[in-house]
Amino acid sequence: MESPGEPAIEVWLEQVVTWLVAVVEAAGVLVIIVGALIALTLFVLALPKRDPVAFVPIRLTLGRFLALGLEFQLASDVLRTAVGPSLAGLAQLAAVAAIRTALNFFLAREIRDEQQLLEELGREMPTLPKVGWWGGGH
Amino acid sequence: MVGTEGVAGPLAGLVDAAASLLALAGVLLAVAIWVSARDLRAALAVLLDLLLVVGLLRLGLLRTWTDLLVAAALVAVRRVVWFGLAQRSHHPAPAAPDPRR
Repeated sequence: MESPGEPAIEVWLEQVVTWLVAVVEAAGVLVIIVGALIALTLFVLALPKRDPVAFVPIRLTLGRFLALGLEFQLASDVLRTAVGPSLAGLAQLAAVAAIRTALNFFLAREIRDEQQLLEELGREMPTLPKVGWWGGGH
Repeated sequence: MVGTEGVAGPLAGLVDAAASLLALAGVLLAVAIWVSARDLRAALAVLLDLLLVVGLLRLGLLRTWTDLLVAAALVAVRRVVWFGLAQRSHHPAPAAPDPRR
């Protein structure tokens, strides 16, 4: 509903951004859940090999899905700032975004380290498509 | 709060349920890896990865500052454990002395 004194365009924009935030956040959650399900399946399939190194490429794949999901979640955080929340809300948003950014940073480092380990061992990556615009080591 | 408005309403319940299931799957899988591969480090790494998935999913459902602090603490704990694992893998245990000497 339009509040008195607030222009209709602002109300409309707030509704659009709220919807966009929900869609982008849901996309991030979907990517993370799909990545986790794929990784769980691959982990179970790798169990009979009894080889600890066999789990590393699967963890790399999971890491890439998580990084992509985090990008979506960070995008939704940025979108939220467009609707001018309260100061307390903005502080909490900043905290969530900081946690996600830190996770993204450490995830990228872990992926790079694991990739180096695989290269040293001469192992192949799994046949799943690479996700994440940053490509994890290109 | 702002952080809860993305995954709102009925989706929040679904995400929470999915996170709980993934946490359970992570624990079971870690035990299975430990039993089959006899490698505690691999099992712990997989468990930490799946707990990270759970943390990421729950990050969108946070309600209070306490939730946020707990999430940040969990990220820090995960990093410390991961750092410990990485150090151990870079510095393997010294080889056993040659019995012929």
